[in-house]
Amino acid sequence: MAYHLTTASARAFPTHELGNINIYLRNTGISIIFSAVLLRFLYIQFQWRKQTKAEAEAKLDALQARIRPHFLFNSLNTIASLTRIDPPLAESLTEDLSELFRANMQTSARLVAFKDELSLVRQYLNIEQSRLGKRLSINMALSDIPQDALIPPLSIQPLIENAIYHGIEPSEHGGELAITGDFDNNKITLTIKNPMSPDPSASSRPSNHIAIENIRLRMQSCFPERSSLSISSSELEFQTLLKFPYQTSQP
Amino acid sequence: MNVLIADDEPLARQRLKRLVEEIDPTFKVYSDAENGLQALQQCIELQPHIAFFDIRMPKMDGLHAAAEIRNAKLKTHIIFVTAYDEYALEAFNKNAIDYLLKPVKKERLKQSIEKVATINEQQQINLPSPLKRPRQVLCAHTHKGLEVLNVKDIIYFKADHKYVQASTTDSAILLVDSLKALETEFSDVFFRIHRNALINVSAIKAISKTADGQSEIHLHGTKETLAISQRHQPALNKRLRT
Repeated sequence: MAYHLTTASARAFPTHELGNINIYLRNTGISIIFSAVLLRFLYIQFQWRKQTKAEAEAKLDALQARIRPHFLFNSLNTIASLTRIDPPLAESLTEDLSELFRANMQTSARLVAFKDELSLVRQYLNIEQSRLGKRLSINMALSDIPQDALIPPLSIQPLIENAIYHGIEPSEHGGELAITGDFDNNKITLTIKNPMSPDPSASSRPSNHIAIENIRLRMQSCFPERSSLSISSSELEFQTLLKFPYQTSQP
Repeated sequence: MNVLIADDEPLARQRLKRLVEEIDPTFKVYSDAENGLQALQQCIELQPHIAFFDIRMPKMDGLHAAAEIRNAKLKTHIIFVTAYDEYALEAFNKNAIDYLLKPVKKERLKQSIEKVATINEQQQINLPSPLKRPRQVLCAHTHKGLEVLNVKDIIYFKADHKYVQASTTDSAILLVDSLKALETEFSDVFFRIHRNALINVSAIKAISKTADGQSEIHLHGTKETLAISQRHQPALNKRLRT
């Protein structure tokens, strides 16, 4: 292209001007190419930034969907209160809260051992017990479940959080949270029961369907066709049933 | 100065009590109220100057309790305390004396108490009224004191001139709310059968016709029968079929 232009101009102009025009055209050509490369670079960078921003926002959204701000600030308030009354408990609740947050921020682990999720559940329940006091009574019977069974991280704690949020916290006298586990024929069944709050305001609490749906999806992708998450309720009781196979190696 | 604290979390009450006492050790602080109804009853009984109400409480929420305190024409100044409640904060921005966020800062709490101290008594303070969720209890402030009915125990509302009467099996109170407002608020449970009446759908026992062709409804828990107007009959039939 540049060649044709130069030959064409060679005919139209006297020879002593040829060299100057040649340099001029070459410079223009170089700057066009350079500009194009720069524009392309800027465009790609813009696209990349947009994408990372979207990803970061999505992660933040997911995080917010999992941690209820109300729970966070009330927990911090509980800890603030305990720093004077019971400093050792304040200290251990700070640790529990940190662990809970760490688990929520970690997105890399695909599967964790049941015992790790269970310790997360216990840490979460320590906080709720301090916060709700005598209104929360816990009955946990999970010794039948093999400790090394693998599950997606954060697949049990949010279910228990739901039970407390809808069943215990809005109720004047609270109630019993029952968590039981069965292990039979290589299948694990986890049952969470909480009383239905007699208080109609409980039903107006925003439900966390996203969290439940999220757990269901992650369970399905880890154990295709072999896991289930179901909820049922009667007038007095709400029940969450989680079933998954006993598996100790990453698929 | 008397101060009342209401919160469903014992440690939250304890901390706020400590902070208030640190700001002024001469304050008398009551901190036993675990829900909105207790808060309301204690405010009526103890007439505190300032009451700190958590927003989310069982039985009756803080906003509702505050509205009732206003209905009872008490001079108590309410300050809301909340962990995080976006919709409530919106309401505060327009109306409330003040609100505090948990964990409450002592300096901020001090400002809040000082603000109440400077409020002119005649100054009108509008409390937030956007009770987006239906109330769980209804109250009437009579010469005998506070009368409280659980909404689920109410069998019917009947309008009579200026007031609406809410009736349960063994008691009745007069409300200043309009029938229309009650209908909107409790549309899940109550249904309009007449220009002057709403009935609790779960209390319906039978529907009959009188000699002159007028439909009547019989309700569990009361001997009284209420007239169903022709205009509301089709909608009622529809509701009962579903």
